[in-house]
Amino acid sequence: MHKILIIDDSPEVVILYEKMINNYLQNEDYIITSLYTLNEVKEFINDENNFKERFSLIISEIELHGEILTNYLEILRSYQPRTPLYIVSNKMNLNAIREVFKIGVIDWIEKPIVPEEFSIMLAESIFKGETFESKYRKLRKELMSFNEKNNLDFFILEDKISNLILDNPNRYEGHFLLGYLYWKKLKNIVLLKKHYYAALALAENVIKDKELENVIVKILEAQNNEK
Amino acid sequence: MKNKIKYIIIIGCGRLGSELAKRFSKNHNVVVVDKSPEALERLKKYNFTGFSMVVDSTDIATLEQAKAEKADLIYIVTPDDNLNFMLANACNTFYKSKNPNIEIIARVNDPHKKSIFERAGLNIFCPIEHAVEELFGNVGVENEE
Repeated sequence: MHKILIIDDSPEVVILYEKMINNYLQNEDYIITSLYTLNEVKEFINDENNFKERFSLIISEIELHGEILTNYLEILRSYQPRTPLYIVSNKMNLNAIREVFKIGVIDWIEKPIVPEEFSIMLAESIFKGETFESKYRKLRKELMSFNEKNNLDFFILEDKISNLILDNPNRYEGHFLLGYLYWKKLKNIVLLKKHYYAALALAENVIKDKELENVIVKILEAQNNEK
Repeated sequence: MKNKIKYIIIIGCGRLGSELAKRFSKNHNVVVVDKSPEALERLKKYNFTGFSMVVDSTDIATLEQAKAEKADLIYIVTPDDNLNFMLANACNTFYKSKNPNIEIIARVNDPHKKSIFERAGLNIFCPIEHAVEELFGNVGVENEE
């Protein structure tokens, strides 16, 4: 599921973006969150539940009802460091341009945005990356078929799972996989416990992948019994 | 990705311009340009979705600001024939060579000026002529004649 965040104070422009997204993403699952005022942006940023999953794309104005958004965009970027952020605005000035590019904005597109520019924006964000769920499934499959004797594969998989955690710091799944990887390769019960408990805390004790959880719980029980 | 959405520029947001904007904005990316903020504000009440630009349309830079070179369709429908001629001619000269698929349609209010537009090779729409043709073609009116 792709998550797209739109920040603009003109409802008629937001509806146009939604239409264009709908046109280009006909075969994709996506959900759009639209924010029209500075208060909505503040509330959105203050609710950590909004950042449990990575956004695939953020499209934002630089101003909402005359109020500059740069500081809030910087906070958004810190929560979603890997999410492509585009500014679509014609309120251009040198200071604003300098500041947003310092934050890490991908591009500043002047309004009116044309369909060609919009499709490039989607191609560089939505169609570039995979969804969290597909990444998780792929990594899990790799972990299950991983050969413990292969050191290079271990480091590659460790790197991939670490990136998943870095991209989605509020999701539990990365810790879940990493803990199991450390057990499988290093037989390190301390690291398994540490990451499993971190996953439990992030998931608020509701882990969807019951199959892998049962495997981990059995390992921990066996270790306890040995003691 | 499917690209069905067209980029349409409408210069002039009077009765004709706003009606065109309202209809096209249902399925396309529309930009409406007018010098009057009130005209564009009124447009928002008609469920228009898209961009509106308050710009002096007598300024040739308007076309650049509206990204005319990327347009599929440009409607120039201000009440001023001279302005419509100037803008349509500029679009034809500057953008048609870069993007031969652009369709430019200019409104001619005074039927007597139609031939000037035609000589310049511009596509035109003349509301008065259309209205006259429709009324003249009406059987009842013809019979009375």
